[in-house]
Amino acid sequence: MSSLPSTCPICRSRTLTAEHIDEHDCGHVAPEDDFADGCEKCNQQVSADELTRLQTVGRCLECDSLATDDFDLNLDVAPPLPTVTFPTLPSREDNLSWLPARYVPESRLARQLLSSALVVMVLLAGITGAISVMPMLESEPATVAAGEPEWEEYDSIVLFRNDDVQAWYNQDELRDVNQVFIDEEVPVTLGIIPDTNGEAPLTDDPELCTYLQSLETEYPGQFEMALHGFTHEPLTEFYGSSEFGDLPADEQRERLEAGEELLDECVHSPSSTFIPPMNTYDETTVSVLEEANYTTVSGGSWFTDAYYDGNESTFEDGGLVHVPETRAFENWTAYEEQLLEEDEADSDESNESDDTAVPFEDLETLTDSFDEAHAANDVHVVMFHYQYFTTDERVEQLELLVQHMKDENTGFLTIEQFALGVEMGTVEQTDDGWRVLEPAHVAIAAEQAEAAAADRDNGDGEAEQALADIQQWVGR
Amino acid sequence: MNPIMIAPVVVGRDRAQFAIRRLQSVKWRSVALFLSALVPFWLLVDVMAPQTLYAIALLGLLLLVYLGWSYYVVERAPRFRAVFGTRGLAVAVTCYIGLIIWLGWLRPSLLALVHLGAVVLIFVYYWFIAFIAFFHDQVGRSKYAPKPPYPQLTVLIPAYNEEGYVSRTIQSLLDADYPEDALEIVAVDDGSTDSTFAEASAFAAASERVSVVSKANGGKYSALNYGLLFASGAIIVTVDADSIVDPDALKHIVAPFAADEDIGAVASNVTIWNRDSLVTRCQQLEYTIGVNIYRRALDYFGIVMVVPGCLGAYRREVLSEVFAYDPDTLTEDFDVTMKVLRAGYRVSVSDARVYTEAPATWHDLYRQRLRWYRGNYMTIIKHWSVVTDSSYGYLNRIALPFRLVEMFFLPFASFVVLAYIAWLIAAGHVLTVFAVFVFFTSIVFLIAALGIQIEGEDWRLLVYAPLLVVGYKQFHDALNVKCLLDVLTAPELGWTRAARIEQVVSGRPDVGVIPEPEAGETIGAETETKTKNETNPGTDPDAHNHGGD
Repeated sequence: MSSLPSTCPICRSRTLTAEHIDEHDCGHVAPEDDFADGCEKCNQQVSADELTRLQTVGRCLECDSLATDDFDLNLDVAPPLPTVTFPTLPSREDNLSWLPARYVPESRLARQLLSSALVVMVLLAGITGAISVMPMLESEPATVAAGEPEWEEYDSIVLFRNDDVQAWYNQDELRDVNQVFIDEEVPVTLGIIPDTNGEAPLTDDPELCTYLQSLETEYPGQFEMALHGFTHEPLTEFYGSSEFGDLPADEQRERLEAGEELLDECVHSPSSTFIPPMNTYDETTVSVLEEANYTTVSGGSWFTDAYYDGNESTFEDGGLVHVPETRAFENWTAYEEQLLEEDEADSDESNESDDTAVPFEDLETLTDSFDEAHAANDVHVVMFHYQYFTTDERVEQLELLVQHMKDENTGFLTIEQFALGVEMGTVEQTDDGWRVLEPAHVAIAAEQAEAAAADRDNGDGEAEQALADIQQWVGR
Repeated sequence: MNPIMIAPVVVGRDRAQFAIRRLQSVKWRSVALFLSALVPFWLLVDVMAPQTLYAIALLGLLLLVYLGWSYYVVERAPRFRAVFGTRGLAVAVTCYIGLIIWLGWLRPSLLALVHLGAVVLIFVYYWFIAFIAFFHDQVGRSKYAPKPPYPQLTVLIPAYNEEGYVSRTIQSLLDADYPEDALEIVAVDDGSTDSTFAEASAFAAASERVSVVSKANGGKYSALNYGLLFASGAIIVTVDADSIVDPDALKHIVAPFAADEDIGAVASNVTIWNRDSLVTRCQQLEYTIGVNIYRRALDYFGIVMVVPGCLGAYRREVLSEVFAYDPDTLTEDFDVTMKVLRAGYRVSVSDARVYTEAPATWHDLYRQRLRWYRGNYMTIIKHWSVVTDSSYGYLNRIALPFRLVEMFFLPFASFVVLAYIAWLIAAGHVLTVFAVFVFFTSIVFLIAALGIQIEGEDWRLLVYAPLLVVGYKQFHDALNVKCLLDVLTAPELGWTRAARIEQVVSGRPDVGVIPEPEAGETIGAETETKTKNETNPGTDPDAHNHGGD
């Protein structure tokens, strides 16, 4: 290849000499002579086979400039300039150009307004998009986490206990109250009476049992089915009245077994929590429960404070975790006063006890009580009786309380989830509250499976027995 | 009255007037868009587990400390520059991961790590990009206003088989608003087999300012090196033979050189003109929110990492000092910019605008990006010492770490996320996936709107925002992974001559005959008659990783 002109295009001198332009393997391009002492760029000696000839051009001896004849064409036969057409280039100034001309206003102000309106529309579209899917994302952690539990931190823990679930009785109210927990996605422990007054065995009300089973399947981990005594009759005057306290061990055991039998038939998985009627129980109850593989007992704090002589909201004693209710939704003091007044009035009129007549604490008392427990990083156990939620206002009060609690950083569990969680390490007290491996029921099941596997691995020959124990423990 | 008494009043009034003027100069549409992008982030914060938030906050703090320290050692105390550098950062991040796992803020699993990484990067990148873009827009577009005297300029146009294109490029340069006696245009015909040479020669014959030189085919780097022998200007501007230069571009691109002696090279803003297909519009949106704005951010540190080959300018003596272009990478523009930066010069961005024709089919885009991404990995590996050598200042401390995360973490993370999404769908969480998609699209949508408002772009591009979350993004991530594997598994192919690695690919039957074995830079176009967009438009277009994750 050669590109040697006859005259220098710079100084028009005719004294030109040929010069080879070479490229070294390192990429350096220079006249051939420059490579004589090695490559200036890579500082290597250069052999001929490392050089690629790019072109031979002219070097003007007068002005020392490089010259090629590439552009020094014969002007007489200069090629015609090609016709150049430019494509339509996007303009950066007028970003409304894509609108049909008739929609673009003439005045500058109107155009600016249009642009601004466009920005507002875009902005609203973007924000609306994000906000509209937010509810789906909020429920996402629970759904997704169902695969793998994650630690959540809370300032306090709230447990709800709905007592006196029984055959035939106020089923609509039961459903209304449960619906609040379903809507708010808050777990609750149901205290189920197996045979109210010895007259209403659960198994006689298949509708109730089917309903309870549907709760277990449709809302896993949200409804705990706990045994609430046997007949719920005040058999002794232990701490006022009691179905279990002060009864001999054998009798307690019999009542417990009879109750278990009915509950087992009615629900899929009865829990390992026992809720003694009238919130009272004695040490015999605890040892009977322990023998029967119960893990938790939930009475009343007014009772445990006196009987166990302490004021811990939850504690361990006799091999059981004691999680007494700390707050009643109903105002029982007012109710008693009301009854007394009625007695004093000595009315001849029928004095049938009216469920709606049991007054509730006002919302403020309930929220204050929660706030106090929340501030103290405590476990707050709210007890209520579904049968008194006879009006919309009463149901709404429960809803408002739950929502108030949800506004704070508080964790909701069933009584069993809390007690088992503490035992298995999936619920931990921290310096400034609690941390819970959630979803709690999944975490606990995983722990139990692991424990079962560990037991199997131990190969003590009793693996099956251990597994059965655990299953029973879980199943309770 | 005592003037001392009046002074505070006057000062107060001046201040008030100043404040009013400042308020009037605020571009409220950008403010609205910037603030609106806060809403989705705020919503995200609201649903995130507190532990994730703490983890993000802690990493944010770590990065802030690192950035602050970097500023201090580079600007004030170079004697400490080896302390807490990139290695320190790597160690700190490793310790950080250990710490958050120990604290229970992060489950020790790959998915959890990628998830956290993705969330952090969304925060860092989008806030980084959005904030810088917003800031740029508010304080004024460019620091450098063009003003005479204009320096002697030589424009180099390397061309291989650019028939029908090169004349348009030369004409746009001749039409440019630049003093005639200070402008020289040298078209370098790199052994074209079509009539590129004749086309360019017609201009050479008609105009004193245009000259054409030809050489044996050797690739773009070789053409540029050869062209330099004939360049007399103090400033060298390189223009791709398929680009159209904006009339104001030359004035804008030389302005930074006059303002700052330390500036060795200046980048331009690349705009796509053929926006008539989905592929090209996606690319324009990608350029708008990723490349052009991202580059402005690095401009603050003088470490713009790629001077695009479509239009870029260099000081002549700086190019000579670094021995111009090397043959050993596929992206000579990125490579030469790194060399300029390593020689200690600042690289800045200007308001010069260049129009380019983007690949219009997925196949063409695939081929273009195959070359870019392979070139990017080759260039990073070639200049690996910058990663470890603290004497490179911001380049070492800021640009490279970000770049490494983009190039080595994000493409892989994208696939972990994709696998997770597939698992979610398989497990029946379709609604969740949909919600996440809509959510991240909203974020990208608002950020894109901000970019479009600032860059004065076409609002219709917003329609393509969802593709930057799903589809277009994964296409690029997959390509990045492929290119990294290519470069790592076949170093001997790529290292001696850039052409070789291209040849491996080009050797497939559908690619056609390779006319010149050495034509590393131009082989990509051998089945066509022109070399299109053979240059990187700037920062890796993958710089904007978005929230499909």
